[in-house]
Amino acid sequence: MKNYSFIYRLNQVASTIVFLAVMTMMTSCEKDEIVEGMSPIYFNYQDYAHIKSLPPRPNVQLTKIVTQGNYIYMTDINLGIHVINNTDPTRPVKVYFWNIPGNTEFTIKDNVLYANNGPHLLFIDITNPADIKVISVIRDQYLGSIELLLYPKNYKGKFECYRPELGELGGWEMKTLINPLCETR
Amino acid sequence: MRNLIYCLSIVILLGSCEASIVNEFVPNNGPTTQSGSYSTMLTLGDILYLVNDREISTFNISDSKNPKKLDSQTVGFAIESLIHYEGLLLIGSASNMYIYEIQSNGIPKRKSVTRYFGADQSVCASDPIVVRNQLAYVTLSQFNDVVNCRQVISNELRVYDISNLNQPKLLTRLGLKGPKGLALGKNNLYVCDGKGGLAIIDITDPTKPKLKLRLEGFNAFDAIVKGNLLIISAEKQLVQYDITDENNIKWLGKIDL
Repeated sequence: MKNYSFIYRLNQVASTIVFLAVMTMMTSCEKDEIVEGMSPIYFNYQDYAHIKSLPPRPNVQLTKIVTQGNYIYMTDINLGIHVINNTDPTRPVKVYFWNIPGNTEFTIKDNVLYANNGPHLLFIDITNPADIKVISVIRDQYLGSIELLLYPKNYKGKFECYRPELGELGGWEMKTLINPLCETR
Repeated sequence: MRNLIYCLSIVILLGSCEASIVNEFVPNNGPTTQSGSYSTMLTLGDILYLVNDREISTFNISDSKNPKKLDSQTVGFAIESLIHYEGLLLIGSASNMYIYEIQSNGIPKRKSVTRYFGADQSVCASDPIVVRNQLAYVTLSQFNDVVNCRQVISNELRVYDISNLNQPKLLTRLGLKGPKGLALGKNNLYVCDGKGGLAIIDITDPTKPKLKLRLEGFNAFDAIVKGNLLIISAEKQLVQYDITDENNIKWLGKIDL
């Protein structure tokens, strides 16, 4: 969700907290709640080893699309970019999945991929698409994703609250959660 | 020999003219990069333009190891899309279409703000834009994610004349189901109409778009026209059509899951 007012933000956080408090009290005598939901991915942004090329994987939610040469690239929102060899458009083949947690926007020029991982803009060398490497980073280009600090974008449901003391938030992944305390509506 | 070279050059130039007209609407991202209409970044030579929720930033990317931010300006809020057209940058946001002109130093300068819903900035819609021949085609659809906006029941295609950059003029509106990304073909405008699949709109008369055909069965989000290929991003699928004959487009296939 997008919002543009700090007061709205406070109000929303406050109402989420009130909701949580009430739910916690009401459910404290019941069994554990086990549910599929989003969980924060924590890492140190100085180490970009997690930004890498992986084998193809299923599509979850495809959004932005780019083509260069015989390839099609598509963002799977907040997860990364699917790389598709489209030399024969009647038989497109997924060849890689570029793991970029928090990715929502990108473009490509020749051998460089420009993509965000949450709030930061990464310059990624894709000369060898099987082994992509982060070349440089410009931090804090996506301040609108301040909501990434609090909850996963474009998601309605339960999630594990992000705790800043555990590290920098690099995105969200689906997991089995036990008694998640946070929820977006 | 020299005459032969001149003849060949003329033939090549003439031959390439038609190609450049067809590709006029392609963002100039280098020889082959094309993006869907929801793109928020693009490169022009050694410059990268990027929009986030509120601003447009300009970077010199000639050295990937040392990119330099040249400029950053506030645009508005709920910014969703950025495209390039003939030295202009068009930015779509929840309430407005912004037109910027790129100056000789590469830095954009605002020329106009076109409000989709009049002075009321609290009404919002999702809005990618494509441009050809001084006409901007904008899809507006219900904007569910913005909580500060009153939800507008507006699902339409609008055509604006942008020949006067300072004052774009609304020419026409066409109701659709829930239009999202769009892409220009030769005489067709391909609009991803959400659950309405793909809406094929005849723009033989560019100021009078007409719904020609609807292809359903997928939740279309964004599209690219690349030569005779229409490429669609549809939630869990990639769908492609051969659009060589725009009156008889052919399903090529899809990848899902």
